Amino acid sequence: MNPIILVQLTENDKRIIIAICLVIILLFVLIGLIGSLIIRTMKWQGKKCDTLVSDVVTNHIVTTPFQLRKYARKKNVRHFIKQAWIPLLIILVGALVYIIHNIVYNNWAYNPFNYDDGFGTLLFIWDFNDPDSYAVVFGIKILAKWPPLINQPHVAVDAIWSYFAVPLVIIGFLWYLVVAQAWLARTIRAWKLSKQVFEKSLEGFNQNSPVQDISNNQMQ
Amino acid sequence: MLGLLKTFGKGILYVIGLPFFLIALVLFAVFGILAFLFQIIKSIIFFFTGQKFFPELPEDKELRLMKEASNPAPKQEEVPQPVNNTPSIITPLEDMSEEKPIISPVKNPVEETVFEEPEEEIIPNKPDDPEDPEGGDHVFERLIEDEPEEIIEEEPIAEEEEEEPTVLETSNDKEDEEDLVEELETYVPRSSNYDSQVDDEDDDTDSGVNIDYDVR
Repeated sequence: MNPIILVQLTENDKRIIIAICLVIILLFVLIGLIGSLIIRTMKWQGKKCDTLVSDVVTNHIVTTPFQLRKYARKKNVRHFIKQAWIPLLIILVGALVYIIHNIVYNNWAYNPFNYDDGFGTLLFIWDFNDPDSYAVVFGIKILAKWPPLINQPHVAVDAIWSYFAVPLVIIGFLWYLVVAQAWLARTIRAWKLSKQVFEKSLEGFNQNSPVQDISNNQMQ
Repeated sequence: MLGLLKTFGKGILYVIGLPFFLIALVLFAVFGILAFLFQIIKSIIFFFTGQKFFPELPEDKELRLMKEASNPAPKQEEVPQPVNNTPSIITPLEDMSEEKPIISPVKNPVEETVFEEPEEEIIPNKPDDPEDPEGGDHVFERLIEDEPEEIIEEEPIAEEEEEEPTVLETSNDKEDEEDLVEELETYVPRSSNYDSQVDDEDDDTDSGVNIDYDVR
């Protein structure tokens, strides 16, 4: 960047730059907090893997990391299927409602989110394609003012099919994503356990120590 | 401030790792749908072959067999206990080895004195079969068998006792019979203060209860 341009910045431009930096920092902090929350949730979900494989591991039925990973994979898949059948069923019901609507109205190009006869009739919709709402700042086109409102929430009888299909699909999809995340968390936990459970450490072991100490270390 | 900077650094890392996380999540979601469909097909086959939706894994089966082999005691403890709840009955095997009487030899002394029955010594332990685990049960069966016998034996004794007071019926002395006849003939009920109230003819008196049943 040409340093002469920086000298020519006005106070207003500097304030805008500072504000933008603060927004970016806050955005990353927010992303960090959300990411930490997701990681903590995945650690909590991964503990279920311990419950599924603990009996077999503590009774020394599996004796190698490969056996543990194989057994944990089977148990995790079964647990995932037990958790996932409900959200998949909800998604299936929503999809059936959409298909029945298309069959009844013979319109396979129907958009369930439009604001004429779709789920968009229940939402506030602004016209973000309006060119008057944008301004060019430093060669970047940014939003200068709030775009005009083109739809206010209202109930349309023709859109009743989408009132059932869209919420069912969204809820089922989000639920299924959480279940898939739990499965990912248990898989990561199983991989960690296969390393940790069979790990041997010579920390604190001394070859020259008396026999009693050696036997105690072996027991540990 | 330091925590805020740490969180800011974590945010940058999470932004960099977010695409990889999303790819892994989408892969698991897609693989989950395939696994679900595959499991449905397997479950249909299992249903028609009589198996469960999720058949037992070899490791789970081995665990179950191991637990059954290590905990056989609950089945032995289910042996039914007899009526006499003496402490030795709970562990009949130990009593068999120690040759202790299962039931106390002291019976109800009242019954003995009344019915004068000879005491029967109950031998709970069979010396020929010291390791017989069912020795206790045999003793219990013997006791159960003995009890009805005692009851049966009691009945004739009770009948004999009832017959004892009725001496008049069994006596054949003529003198006694004549005395009885005289007693019956000469019997006169003794008078009481209430005899005047017994007569039905004296209905005029207001005292006492009027027991005249004539319809007026």
